[in-house]
Amino acid sequence: MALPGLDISDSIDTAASLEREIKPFQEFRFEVAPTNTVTIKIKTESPGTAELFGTELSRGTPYTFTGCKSAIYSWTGCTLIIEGSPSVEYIAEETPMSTYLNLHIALEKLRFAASDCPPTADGAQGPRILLIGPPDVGKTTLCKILTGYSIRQGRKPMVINLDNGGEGILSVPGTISAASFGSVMDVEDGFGNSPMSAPSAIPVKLPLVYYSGLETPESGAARYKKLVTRMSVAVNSRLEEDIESKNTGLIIDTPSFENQANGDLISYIVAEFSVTAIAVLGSERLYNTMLKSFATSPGVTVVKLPTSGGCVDRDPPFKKACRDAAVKKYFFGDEKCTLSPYTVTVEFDSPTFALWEVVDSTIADAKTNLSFLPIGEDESSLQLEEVKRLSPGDIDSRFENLIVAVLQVDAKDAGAKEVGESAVLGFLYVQEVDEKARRMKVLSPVPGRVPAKALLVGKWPEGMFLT
Amino acid sequence: MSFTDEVPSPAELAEDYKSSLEDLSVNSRWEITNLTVIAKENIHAAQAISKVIEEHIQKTSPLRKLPALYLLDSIAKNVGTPYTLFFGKNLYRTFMDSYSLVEGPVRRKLEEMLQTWKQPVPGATSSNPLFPAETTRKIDNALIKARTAAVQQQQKQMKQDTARFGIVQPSVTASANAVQYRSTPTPPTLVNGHGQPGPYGPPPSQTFDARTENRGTPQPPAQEPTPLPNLSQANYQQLAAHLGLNAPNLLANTPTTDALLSDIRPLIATTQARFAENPWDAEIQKRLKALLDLQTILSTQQLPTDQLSQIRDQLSRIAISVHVPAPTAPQPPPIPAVPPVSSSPALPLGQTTNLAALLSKFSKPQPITNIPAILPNSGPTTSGPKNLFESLLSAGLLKPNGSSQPSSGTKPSTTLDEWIRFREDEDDSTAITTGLNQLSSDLTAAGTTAQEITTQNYIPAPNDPALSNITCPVCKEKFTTVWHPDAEDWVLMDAIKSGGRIYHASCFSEISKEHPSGSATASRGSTPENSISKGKRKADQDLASIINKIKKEK
Repeated sequence: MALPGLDISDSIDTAASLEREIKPFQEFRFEVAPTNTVTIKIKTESPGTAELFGTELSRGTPYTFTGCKSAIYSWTGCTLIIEGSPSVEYIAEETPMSTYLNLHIALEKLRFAASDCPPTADGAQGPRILLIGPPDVGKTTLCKILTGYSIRQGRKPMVINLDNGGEGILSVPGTISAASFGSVMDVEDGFGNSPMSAPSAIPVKLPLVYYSGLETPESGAARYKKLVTRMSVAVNSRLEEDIESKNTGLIIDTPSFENQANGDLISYIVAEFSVTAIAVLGSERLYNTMLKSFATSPGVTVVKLPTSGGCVDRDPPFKKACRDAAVKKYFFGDEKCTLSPYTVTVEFDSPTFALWEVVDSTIADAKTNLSFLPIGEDESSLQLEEVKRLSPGDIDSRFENLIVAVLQVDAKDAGAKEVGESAVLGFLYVQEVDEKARRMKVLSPVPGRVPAKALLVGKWPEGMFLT
Repeated sequence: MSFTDEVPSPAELAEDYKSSLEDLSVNSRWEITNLTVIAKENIHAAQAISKVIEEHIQKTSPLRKLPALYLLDSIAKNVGTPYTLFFGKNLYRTFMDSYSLVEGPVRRKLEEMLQTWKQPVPGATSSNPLFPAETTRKIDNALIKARTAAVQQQQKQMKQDTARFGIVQPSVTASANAVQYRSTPTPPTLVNGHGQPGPYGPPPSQTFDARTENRGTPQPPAQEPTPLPNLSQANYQQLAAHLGLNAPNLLANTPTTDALLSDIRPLIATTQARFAENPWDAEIQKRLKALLDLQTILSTQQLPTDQLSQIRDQLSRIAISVHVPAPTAPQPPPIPAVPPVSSSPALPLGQTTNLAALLSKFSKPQPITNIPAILPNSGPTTSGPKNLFESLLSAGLLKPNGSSQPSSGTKPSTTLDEWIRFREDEDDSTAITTGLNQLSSDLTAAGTTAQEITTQNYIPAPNDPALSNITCPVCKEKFTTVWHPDAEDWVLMDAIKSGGRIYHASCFSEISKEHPSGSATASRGSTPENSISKGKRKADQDLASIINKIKKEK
């Protein structure tokens, strides 16, 4: 029965259905626009298996993809049925998958050696691998592949995402996060959803999230380092309690590091997480720089990995669309599980309200001209603040359409230090700021009033329209 | 642990010890004494050293196993605890794995050694045996089983041969048997999830010595080498029984209920592990259920012998299908879940930890034929865990009839400590439950802090006009009714409902604060303590219900 104005038949597109046969060691690559939807499944009758970035697809189950540039690889060869129209699709013969698998096997060997040691010995610490490289070389993809393989071997890798400019792992963009993976990842959604109260097909993974609020680590290097330290402390204490994770080690994904200026940050991360192996993707130059700078440190191995021909440059609009989709998903869920966020009013004058803002140090530096400093003081004596508290009068419509992190520290007794280094409880989305009435309307994933915690607003991800 | 601070560390000691173990090739009294003294001096690293010794026994060639076991014996006898404890834990495996790989004379020596383990140490004050009786008894049982199996197998074979040839040809059957038994390529640790075949494979040919001993005609140990693959069922059973590993005494002559029960247990454990890996595999589910039922029947009922042997046959089939070793052929294994860790046999195992060296060795694309074995199928499944939803419902965390409650939204991540303690593989529903509890306690915490800031407290204004002019029973003042933007309803500000009456939140907190002091000074007497305490308890409930109500109204 057709209802007027609701043409349902249009949305069900049964016509476009193609079949693609992948031979062994080949890869089916496809791109789907953010506005489009493509469903892929392995043909039930065909023998063989296929995997999407290390996670095996189950036979006959349709997987829905939207807004992604992805690839399905098969070690055995199989047949795929594709419904919908991907914007690009082809089968690639040359892939670096066997190298990646060999990397995994090498790591697995170290893990095996680690799990043989008594838990208290130093040797029980599994390999900790750091993936670095220029943008769009497949760092996060390799991270997924390694995670997927180690999960399939019954390991429990701890995955750490330090890329605050990317889409975020198990969280919204603009965050750095860590989570222990003991069960399959969501193939349609990269690493899976943030944990939610609704039932889900994939076991929930609880991430530890810090909100950076800036696009690159450089624009707030001091605070970024502090967050990295905080995270490494938390991760290490977690690993001490979880011997399986400890034996498996860490897989660390990073923002794009390509030049020497990042060397300092890389060594900082290596030191904080006691990284034992650095895998450099797609940049010979970075590889040699790393070789030189870690030549003297015996515990660190630097390896070079080829980048996949399937890595494509994602243009800024596409990345922005992906980030917006990630935020939207946080509040509204996806097709499989629709969530309904709550609109909550927050009063600026309430004693439990404290809004802080992340300071972009590149802009702050420009403002504090060194020549204005008193004689005898230099830059180091100047206490640059990393977050600043906003008085109710400062809150205006520029914060509309941004996301706000609800921190774990209480609003009342938090100083700049606590706020700057606190982990995140959840996120709000600012719908509307009413300057006159001194209140704002926010979207909240949970009902009830906003907890009496400090709120932190940043500049990244940039504003977006959700509703 | 404290000893990790010492210099040299246990790991280094173990490494040193390991290299000296490599030199232990003959049964030299001097070397063994020397190594025993080292072990005694470094007793703080006992765990590491005993592990190294066990590993060495596992990995070393059969010719060197005897001296290594003698070293174990020497340390256990001369040093004693804690080494006996560490060795005792894996003694069965250490002993049986070696026993199965060595030749006749060595086996006798091992048996002699085993006898001494059951006795107290000569010259020691305690009369306890060197290793606990349970441990040695287990080994004894396995040896007896292996012998029985061998005898039975031999008799069967002879009978078959007799039927086939019509005449008894002892010498021919013997050599035929020898050839058949010798195809034992699988490493002894095949069904052991954690075990990894050593770098030295088992020797290409082994005779089954218990059998030859019984026959009194010792076979020369090495004849022509047999091809590796194609383990026949009989061979596998033979091997399993022979090793006394998880696979049971399937060939024992008279099956007893106890023996069958002990056979079922490992099968159940393995099947449960499989089930945990593949919870949606109906086949495994069925098998697990059948095994559990069988266990119940066996432990509760007395069955006749022929039924017992039927069960035994059935079990042997299951045991084989459960413990089927990974085939060397490139096609995927018939059973989806292969023991995951033991499946990277393509790599030789060394102790090097240099990733670059490893990679340089392996980064050339190689023909990888056994991928399905390396990466067992554990793809995501179609249906979600429905029972999770139900368990949440039954826990009252999700309101089935509350309009939008079940999909109430993304849960904020939890506190740092909780994250450190969170384990994904624990029961998911409890994880979520604690998460939600945390959340709701956050909410109530928000509620109680707000109670101190009394202007934040409100309840929906009663619709009953008779109640519109009510006053607070404590201060006898009226309530203020205002439009609340959050609740989007008319509310009584600074109000709290308790025991059917409405109080000012500030007044109520005062009277409930008085309560502890009142109960402390019981001499006051006049205070109706009981009623107040009852009132307070109710108040707590009411507060929760108010929060619930507000939530529902939203």
